[in-house]
Amino acid sequence: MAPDPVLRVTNLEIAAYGPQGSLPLVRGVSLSVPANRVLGLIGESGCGKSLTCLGILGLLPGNLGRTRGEVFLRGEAVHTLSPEAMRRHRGRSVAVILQNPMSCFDAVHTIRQHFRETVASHGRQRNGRFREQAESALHEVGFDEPDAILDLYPFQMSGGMLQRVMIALALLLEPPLLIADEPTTDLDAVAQATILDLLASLRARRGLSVLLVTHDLSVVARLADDVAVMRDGVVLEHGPVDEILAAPRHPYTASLLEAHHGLDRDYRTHLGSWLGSAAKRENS
Amino acid sequence: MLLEVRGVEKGYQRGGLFGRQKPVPVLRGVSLTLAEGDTLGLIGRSGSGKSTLGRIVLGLERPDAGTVLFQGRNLHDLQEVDRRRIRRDLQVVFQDTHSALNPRLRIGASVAEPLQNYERLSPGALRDRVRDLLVLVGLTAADADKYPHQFSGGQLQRIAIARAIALDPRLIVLDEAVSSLDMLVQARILDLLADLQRRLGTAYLFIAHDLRVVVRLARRLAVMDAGRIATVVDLDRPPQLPIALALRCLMEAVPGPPPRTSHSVVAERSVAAYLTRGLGDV
Repeated sequence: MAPDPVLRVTNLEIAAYGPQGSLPLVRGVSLSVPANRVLGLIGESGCGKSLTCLGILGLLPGNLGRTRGEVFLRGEAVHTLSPEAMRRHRGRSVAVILQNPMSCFDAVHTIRQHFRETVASHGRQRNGRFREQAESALHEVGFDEPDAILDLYPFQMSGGMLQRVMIALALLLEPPLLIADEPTTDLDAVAQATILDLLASLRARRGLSVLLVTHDLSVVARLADDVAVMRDGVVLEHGPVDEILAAPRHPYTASLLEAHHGLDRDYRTHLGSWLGSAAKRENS
Repeated sequence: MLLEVRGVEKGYQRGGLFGRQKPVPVLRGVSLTLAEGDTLGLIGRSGSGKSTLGRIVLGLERPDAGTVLFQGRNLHDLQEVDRRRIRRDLQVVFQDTHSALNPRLRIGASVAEPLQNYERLSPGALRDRVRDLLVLVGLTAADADKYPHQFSGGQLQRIAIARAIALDPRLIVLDEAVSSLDMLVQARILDLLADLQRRLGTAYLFIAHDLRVVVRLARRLAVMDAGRIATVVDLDRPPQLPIALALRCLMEAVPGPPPRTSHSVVAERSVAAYLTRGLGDV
């Protein structure tokens, strides 16, 4: 028998409770992320991608709830766990990074204090290795002088730097699964490329599994092994990236791809001679 | 010249009430021009000063040095009556669609606000204008009675655009106006902006960090780097060599396209139907 996938979601339904009764927002989503694979979850804003992630993490806001379906982390059913038991899973079995790194940090605490808090809240004592651990985590995400970073406050850093610190914090307890919800959307194009490279290398080095939520198909094409396309709370298609991008079965996927190709085609046409000159210069 | 920015400098004070430090320079001697009906793409990495320049051009902030001429008049040294007139010709669309509209106002009321501020219209005429504006951006007359939470991000951005063009302005500053939308919706909003420009002759200062998006609307690009204009390029002319480093970095950061689709599986017709489906759907 094949080993359990790192994450398996079956028939997940999430609804909003309102005065007019409950309104289903995620309607029967099934996903699976096998070990050491990246699943790209793609869809337009408001299609239920982020709610699916919150549902997996047990972090749905009060007016929303899971009405049906199961969530398994490495074969263990977690949708039935108490909030306290689920809290212990977060950070250890699954970590999360979000779109806006600026709002994920406390402005009055240094990066060092954020690391301390993460370690302490999971009951690991602050032994002599704390500093070493924090520095090696920061080094792993590409900081050459981790020591200096630890003393900075969040507002002294750029969005791209903070997102890297966020990834270092998320991976501190070595969870097998990372949920990355639009991790590059708020970053500029150059910082975006850095974060994607980093996620690719972490996955190769650590065998990390990633659920990568994005609205950018180029990000999926670059990083993901599998892709699930969502619209209106439903997964339209789910399968290996090569197959789905080469031959989308659903017209929505096809139109999304077409929009990307159109943008890319125009870009290459408009910038044609400029792109050629830039490439020539690099090669010389 | 519609807009002329001359040697603009801006710095922000660091530190609190105590321990004043030297201001951090954000803009250092920025100059650029934009002609009536034209588009200038302003690109650069986060923190390069693009948005600060946008805010100064809008008159929301004062430069420490230098001048901004709009229709030949110094934007930061105006009589009240001129300021009121110029505000009508100068509009903005921001990135965050959800905070751009009052959640308690119906869409119709939000779009009507600039018209009420500047034009004396009868209730019937006002309603007609609002309806025309909504239709112009691909929504329907019935949408006027809905609230912001009933719309998607792309639709909200259309509403923000309807409000921005309500007074037929001469310049719209688009500050990352499509960045938070998915590619399909981005492409549709960019097409809408291009179409409106052809019809209304509005000039755009289009601020963005994604080169793919900027070149779809602008033939002239100003690349910012660390508070300076690193280079201004005209895409209709042959490249000036060497290409500025700041522009090369942005070019290299553009992700490759997703692999090509073989359309054998999905009928071309259904794809076309999706792409041209009622504009208001996005």
